[in-house]
Amino acid sequence: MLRVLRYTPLLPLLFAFPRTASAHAFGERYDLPVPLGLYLAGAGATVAVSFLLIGLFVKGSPGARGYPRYNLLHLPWARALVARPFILLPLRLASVALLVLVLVTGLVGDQSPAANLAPTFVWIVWWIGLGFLVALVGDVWAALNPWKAAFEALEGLFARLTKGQPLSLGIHYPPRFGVWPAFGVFFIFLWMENVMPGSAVPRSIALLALAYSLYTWTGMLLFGKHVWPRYGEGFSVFFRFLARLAPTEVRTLDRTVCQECPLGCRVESGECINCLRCFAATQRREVNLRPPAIGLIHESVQGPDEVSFVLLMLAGVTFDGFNDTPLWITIASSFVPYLSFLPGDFLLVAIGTLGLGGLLALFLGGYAAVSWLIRSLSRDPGSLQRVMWSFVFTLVPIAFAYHVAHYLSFLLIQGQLLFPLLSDPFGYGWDLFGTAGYKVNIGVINARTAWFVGIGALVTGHIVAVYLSHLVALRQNMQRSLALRGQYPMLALMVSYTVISLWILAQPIVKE
Amino acid sequence: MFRVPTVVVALAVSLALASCGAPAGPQSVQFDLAYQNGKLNKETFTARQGDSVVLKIKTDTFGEFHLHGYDLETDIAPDEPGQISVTADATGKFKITFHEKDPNSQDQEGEVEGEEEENAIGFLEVQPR
Repeated sequence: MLRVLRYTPLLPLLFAFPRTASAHAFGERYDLPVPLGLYLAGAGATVAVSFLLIGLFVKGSPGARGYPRYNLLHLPWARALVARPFILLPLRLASVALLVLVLVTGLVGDQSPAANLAPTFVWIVWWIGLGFLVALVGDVWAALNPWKAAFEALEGLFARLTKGQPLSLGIHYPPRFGVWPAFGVFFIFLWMENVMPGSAVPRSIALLALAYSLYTWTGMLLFGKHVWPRYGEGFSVFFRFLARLAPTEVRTLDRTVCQECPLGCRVESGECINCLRCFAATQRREVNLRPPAIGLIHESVQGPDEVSFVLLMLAGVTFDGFNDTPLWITIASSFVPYLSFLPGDFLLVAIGTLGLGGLLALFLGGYAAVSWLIRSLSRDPGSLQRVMWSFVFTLVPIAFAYHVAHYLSFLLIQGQLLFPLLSDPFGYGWDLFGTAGYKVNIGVINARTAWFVGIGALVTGHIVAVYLSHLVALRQNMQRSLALRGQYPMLALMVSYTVISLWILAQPIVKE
Repeated sequence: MFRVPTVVVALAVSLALASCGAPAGPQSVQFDLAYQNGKLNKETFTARQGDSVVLKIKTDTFGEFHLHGYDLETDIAPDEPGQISVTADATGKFKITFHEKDPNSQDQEGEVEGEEEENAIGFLEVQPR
């Protein structure tokens, strides 16, 4: 992550402003790699639980399609909260204000990454922190998306001025485009995170955020404020998929409302899940607590565009960790002779891009191959595509577990930079809340704790993944023995993915 | 069904055992760093959490040594060795950097950060107990 630190020859040009904040550096990692013994124990545990689970399924009963849910709207305070906007409105205002603050501090504040609010807020609090929150709690992004909130405010104003005209042109979004636009921008974002030099420079962040805001608002203007986040706004798609891990959902029970919805949110029963447009349109609705991760399998992805997006999420998380390993340095160095015609700076960027793209291609190819084996072994009469669509979400728990393992310490340590930055967001020497002198506590999490949390998360993620994949297989295939037979390739894939993720955690961090 | 919790407990115990070291109490540790021709005599210095660590540094040029994470620094000159003392409360791998300074000029704070990243010359590794 954050390739700026490799591009040091360029940096002195950017640090012409004197630093006024603490000497704490932005984006540094202090992680100790997981020791060999723990890594082997983790890998062994992974294999052992896999056999256990196979044994359970051979004897146990097939999973039904439904899952236990508790409707929070039975509680009077929850009903009141949902009915009136007095909680949601200030939160949305705060969200828009934060977007504006990031833009302004990035553009005119101190350009040293640790002294400016923009890099810490965007890369740590929002990208990592909000990701954790969405996966562990629910899709708060859908409710608090600042671009959507700003657009809706403008829409309301416009309607008032023009006596009820909609702001959006309402052009029909061609279904065959699917989430490909979101895929494209999300790939660019992952590239910026992992490959692009200077991604921590405040001004770059502000300009890119500005460009993205224009892109998003244009999309909403053309296609509508619900349609665009569903198909074209990369982060809304990302958080929506991530929220499938979460133990909460919003569900609309009114089938007629869901039927007219252009967002394709319907599940088999005719109801729809996590569709805010439908949720707002009727009173027959629920806000449910549900078992974590069960949301991954209530329905499959709906096309090659969505499969590709999920695999991109997985590849991005894995590449994020892999490109700090010595093995990657060796691989990258082997590319250098073939690309020596490129000037020095472009050479590294080209190799990084090839790495990210290459890993994505590997995931696509590998997953297609495993799906082919599943289909063949379970004698599935459907197409290879449909098999791929059915199972791809079941890999997410492993990737998310790795994401937690990789970033927990970083979030807890570097995230503390937010406290002094809130008092001095521009780096001008202010102290708005009295926290400008706050010194980051680097000992907030012990290395041993981080190792255990990381390994525990990966083994747990693996168990969840194998379990869910079996549920899907048994649901789809009438013949139990065939369904289980088809799961062996998936099991091999999952064991490999988990063990590779553990291996990355055990590698020394090479850069910086 | 009872096999699952039993195996989970067995795995947890083996994980715990796998990570046990042979803990002694916190100690005082001193490392001698010699920086010459752009390199340190040794790349990684290892201590345990809670140790009192002293880094004694000698070099043949003017500059400043910086221990990242703990954010401690010391000025250094050819005839004046420097020292960084720290109680290693926090575990982790912390970069040691050096940037040269013109002995006749004022403190150049602004230029520091960029050049520092380039000159990670070694690491202080603090292992958990």
